[in-house]
Amino acid sequence: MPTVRVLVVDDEDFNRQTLRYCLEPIGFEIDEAGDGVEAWALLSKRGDRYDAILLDRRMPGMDGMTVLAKIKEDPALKDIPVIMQTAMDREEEIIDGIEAGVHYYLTKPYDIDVLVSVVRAATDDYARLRRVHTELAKRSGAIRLLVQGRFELRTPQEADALGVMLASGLPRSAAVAMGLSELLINAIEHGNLELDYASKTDLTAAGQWDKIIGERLELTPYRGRVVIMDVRRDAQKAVFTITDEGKGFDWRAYMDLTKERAFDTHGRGIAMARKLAFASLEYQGRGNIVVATVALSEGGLAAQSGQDPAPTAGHSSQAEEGDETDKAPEPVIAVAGSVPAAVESRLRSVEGWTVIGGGEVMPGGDDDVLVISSDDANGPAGLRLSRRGAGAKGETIPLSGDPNLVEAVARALVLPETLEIGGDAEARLGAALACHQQGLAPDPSTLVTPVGSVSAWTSSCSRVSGDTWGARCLDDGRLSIFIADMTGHGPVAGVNTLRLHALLNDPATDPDEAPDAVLRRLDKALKAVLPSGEYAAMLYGIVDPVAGRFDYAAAGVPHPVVMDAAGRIVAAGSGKGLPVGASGVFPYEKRELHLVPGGGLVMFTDGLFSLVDRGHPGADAFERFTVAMEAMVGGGTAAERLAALVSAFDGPCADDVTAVCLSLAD
Amino acid sequence: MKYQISENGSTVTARVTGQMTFEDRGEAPALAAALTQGSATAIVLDLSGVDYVDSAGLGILLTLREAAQAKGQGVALSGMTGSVKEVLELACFDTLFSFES
Repeated sequence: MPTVRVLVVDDEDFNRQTLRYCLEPIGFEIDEAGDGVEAWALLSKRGDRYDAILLDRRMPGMDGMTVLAKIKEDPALKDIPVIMQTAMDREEEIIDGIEAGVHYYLTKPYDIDVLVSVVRAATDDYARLRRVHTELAKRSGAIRLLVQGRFELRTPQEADALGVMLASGLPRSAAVAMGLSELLINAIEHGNLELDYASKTDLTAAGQWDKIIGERLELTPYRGRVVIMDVRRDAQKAVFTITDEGKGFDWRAYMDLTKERAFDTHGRGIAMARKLAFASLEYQGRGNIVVATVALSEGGLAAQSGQDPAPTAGHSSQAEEGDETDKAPEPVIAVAGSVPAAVESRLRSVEGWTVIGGGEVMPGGDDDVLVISSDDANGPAGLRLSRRGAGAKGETIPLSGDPNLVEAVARALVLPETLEIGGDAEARLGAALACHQQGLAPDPSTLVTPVGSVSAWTSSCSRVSGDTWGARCLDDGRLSIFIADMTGHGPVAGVNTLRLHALLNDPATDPDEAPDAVLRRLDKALKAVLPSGEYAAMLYGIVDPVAGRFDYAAAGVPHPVVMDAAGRIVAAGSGKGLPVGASGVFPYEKRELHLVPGGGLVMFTDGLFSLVDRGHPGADAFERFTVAMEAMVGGGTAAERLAALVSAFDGPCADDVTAVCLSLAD
Repeated sequence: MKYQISENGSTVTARVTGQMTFEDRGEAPALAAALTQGSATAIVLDLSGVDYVDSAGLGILLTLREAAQAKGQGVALSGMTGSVKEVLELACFDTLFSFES
């Protein structure tokens, strides 16, 4: 049996020794590095000798995430499985790690059985990937001549063989082979053989899993069942439809690797396949049919196995004809730097888009190009989208590397009307946008400030909200806070909220910028980039606890209100102002409200008015809000009254609602 | 949203009724074209029959204004009442449109 070598990276001697004592007796060779710098020195010299890397996240000097980013950027190292050691309760770290390409997690203190299972799972998966590479290299790729076909299979061994054969000749064939066999094996184990996730966990731990599979394959009724693989291929894509005869599989929990299952020893195959191999992956029926699509290069089929799609440089043929001078040239999307392959492949799969890969010749300086590049400031897998050329308007949006999110934002920037594409595709893009949006709003518990505490309520009338909010502690103890309501709702409005966050978090701006100056800046910037008729109604302000004052500027939102400790409204400001992005030159003015110690400051978007409309048609909406807040049964603080007001409403809302309350310290 | 267009000398008037919301945003280009295609130099949007405007409805007004500006036409809004008037005032639309009573 070949040596299996693991690199252990940890700044604590004790931890490194523990791992060595656990892993050496069962046949693993261990190399140690005491920090990120030492680890990288070993990896950059002899990285090919490692079958897995056990990486501590927190280390002085170069930390685990930095080492991880360097590994993922290196083509020779990027496939080596990284097992991240992190505390179980650090959910954000786990999510960051998953996004950066960590598929295996260990928590300290080590449970020896879990440690061994996870390291085995990682090294076995890697060994399988290398076998697949070897197998693929032997193949001619003639299977790519197959236009349509059906295969029937029963066993995991057949699944592996079929996965490799069908993947040869496709772009990123190794990932596709792993992905297809994963889906096929899943169809056999969890579909035809009706074994569930929990029993796989137990039986794998007991070393009994393969035996049970072998036995079930010979038992009635399982022995008569087959998995069917249908293949259809055209110039743009290869579509694989896998159908089993089981009772159905609840696939929902397995489409993404989640923090809840990050520490499990198995169950990451579908999420990895989806992320690394396929342009799309959809379960159908009762969960016994899965459709996986692989995007092929635009000009036809990929030429060779194991290689990325053939590059297609330049513009669409229409633009080169030169007879369409009235029309703006079709925008071109350029992928630069270490953008994940799944993102590039997704963009290539969108009909009618010209995508230029890294290293290809970019069009001339005046052409409108949407550039997608890696952005370390936005995490190791971070990306940024920016416009270049005549259509450039100085806009840059930071994003995660989720292909759905990148596609959604690219559509919004290039051809907003194609974002509302309906059906499953829109739902897919909407889900990615909604997820990213949730990550942008702050977690109120992190806003530790002498000013007081922040509570927020949001509700959306569609999957993606057109509302957003934010708050930030400034260095001197003040707190900046904003609420915004983009025109309309749905995916286009959702992308516009990302644009607003990008402008507000632009590191080039001064966090101390006065509220009226912030709105003037946003007005000008949004006017330049938003389509006609789109804008943001918003309020931006800074709470100064020493002066007991809220300095703010408003752009067409309901009036902010100040409440006292007993929950009475004692002052209302003014939300009057032209929405930002509507004119580009509106002279926003600075306003102020005097705060009451122990009281509250409440601001909200006009969606909240739809919650107090009932029973009082015709009356001024703000008056109705005031009456509703004052009438809250049981009284209470501003935050309690607002919470009661929002939760009293249980019908479908007609508009997105955002309400933020700052409860002031005494 | 429904509308009826009438022309009187150099003024073209659209009488809009119902609600102006997100659902109606697709109508904006057709309405803009109808209002700007003739020789009128002034456009009046009669909103007396409108009982609700949301943010996308305000967006429709902005789109109409841009189309009119491109043809050198001015746009006036008239007849607003109740919540429609409140919303337009809160959003300072009087700085972009002339309000007629």
